[in-house]
Amino acid sequence: MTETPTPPPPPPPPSAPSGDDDGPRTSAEEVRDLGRIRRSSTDRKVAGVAGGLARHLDVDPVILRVAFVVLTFFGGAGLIAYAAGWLLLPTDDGSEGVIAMEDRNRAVVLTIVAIVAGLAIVAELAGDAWGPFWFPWQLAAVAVIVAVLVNRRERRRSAPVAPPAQPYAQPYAQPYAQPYGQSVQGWVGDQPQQPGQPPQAGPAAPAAPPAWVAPPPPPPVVRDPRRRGPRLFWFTVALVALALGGLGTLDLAGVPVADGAYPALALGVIGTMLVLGAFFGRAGGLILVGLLTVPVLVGATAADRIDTEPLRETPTSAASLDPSYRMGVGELVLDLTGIEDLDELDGKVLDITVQVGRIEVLVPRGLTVEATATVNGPGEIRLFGEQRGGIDTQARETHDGGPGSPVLELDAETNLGEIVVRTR
Amino acid sequence: MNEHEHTETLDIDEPATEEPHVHEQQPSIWAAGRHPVNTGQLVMGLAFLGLVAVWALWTTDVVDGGDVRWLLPLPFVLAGAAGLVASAISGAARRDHWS
Repeated sequence: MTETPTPPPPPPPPSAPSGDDDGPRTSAEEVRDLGRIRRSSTDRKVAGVAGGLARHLDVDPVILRVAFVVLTFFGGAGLIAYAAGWLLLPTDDGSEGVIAMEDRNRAVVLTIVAIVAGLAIVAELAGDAWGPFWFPWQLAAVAVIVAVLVNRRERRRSAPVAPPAQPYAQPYAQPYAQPYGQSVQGWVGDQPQQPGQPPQAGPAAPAAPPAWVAPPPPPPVVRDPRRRGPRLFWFTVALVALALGGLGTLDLAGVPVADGAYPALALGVIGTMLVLGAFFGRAGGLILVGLLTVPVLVGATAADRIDTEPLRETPTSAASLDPSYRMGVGELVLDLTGIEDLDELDGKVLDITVQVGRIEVLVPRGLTVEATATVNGPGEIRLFGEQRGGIDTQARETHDGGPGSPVLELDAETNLGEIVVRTR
Repeated sequence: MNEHEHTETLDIDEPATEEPHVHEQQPSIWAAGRHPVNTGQLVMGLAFLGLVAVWALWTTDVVDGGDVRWLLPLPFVLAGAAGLVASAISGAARRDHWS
């Protein structure tokens, strides 16, 4: 029987792939096949979406990285596209995406995502940003980017420093090797000794080993510290479904439940599981789900507070006109044309605030009004025919009611929406 | 000399080292799943929970719309601070481990 030699050590991993310029160019037909896209496991800054897409399109990945960042500020289109890529695309090392599906289905979903992202850009360019209210989207985007970068650095730090051939061999082999001295070679090398043959290492042993034959130690369980513990993603999804179902049951049973409570509950569960996942298990993918839940929460809360019918105030006397009107979300119409004792308004200050929505003030022609309108966020102002729009806009106009007419000072403010002051 | 050391060591240390080793192979679920703190997930988790807290305050009219505007960045600030602390602590622990 021939003696089996010690197997040679595995060859070192191949060096970095050669430059992209060496390969054939991608054909248009291949580009159209979205099911072929894979996230790159080698050329990656965050999740390898840009690297994989660049390889698919056969372009420089820097272009796509810059495009993703820039488009994030256009209705969040870049974030939507990147998040979808992260969730849907498998990696080129064979592992599935967070949401696994067939290539053909993935191509359809990616097309839909591209359309949604395109609509977001169009909506942003058209001025009808669906970034709800004054929510600091830019801050949130920066926070996400910082979190991801910190996360990646954290992972890189916890990665083994040793070459990939035997990443954890030393820490585990050392404790076993020391107590057993040289005989450890018979244990670690996994080479069964032939009976009657002296051990390979050291001089021939004069005495037989002890009667107790120790079984070979089981191979140490080597855990990748980056991927330790159970995956929490689908557990969290199930937990969210359970929680929402319970809340829905309460809702149907007559307990008053705000619309925003549903996404808030989901976000709370996701946040809790993320905090847990920071120390235990693998919570990959939950950050994206949470980010997608936040706009739903904001939208549902706003919808909750919007009064479907505009609040219409028509005071008939100066005494019945309140000095200030405040509203959360909705439309407030204040009609001053019904006031008969206009002279009593002289020198008064009228303060109107609607957090989000529309303010409309109808002014009688015989009343001089010094109007100041402020829109803190995106919105539009129309004062006596003068129109202004944009973000953080302020306008001041005066309507002259004629010589000797009473003067009313009007301050109108909203965070997002429209302010209209006109005569009638 | 070497064989002597080998035999003695094997006889004395064998049972003592084997038992805890077997014990280590079956850690509890919590011990098996624990890992160094993931700062990104910690930060975003706390930020989400903070947003839910702000939403709860607004919905229950504890704060009005104007205050919410100033309250909204708070979850991010607190989550970021917690992330920095966690990052510093885990970094210090890692340095101690390797030194």
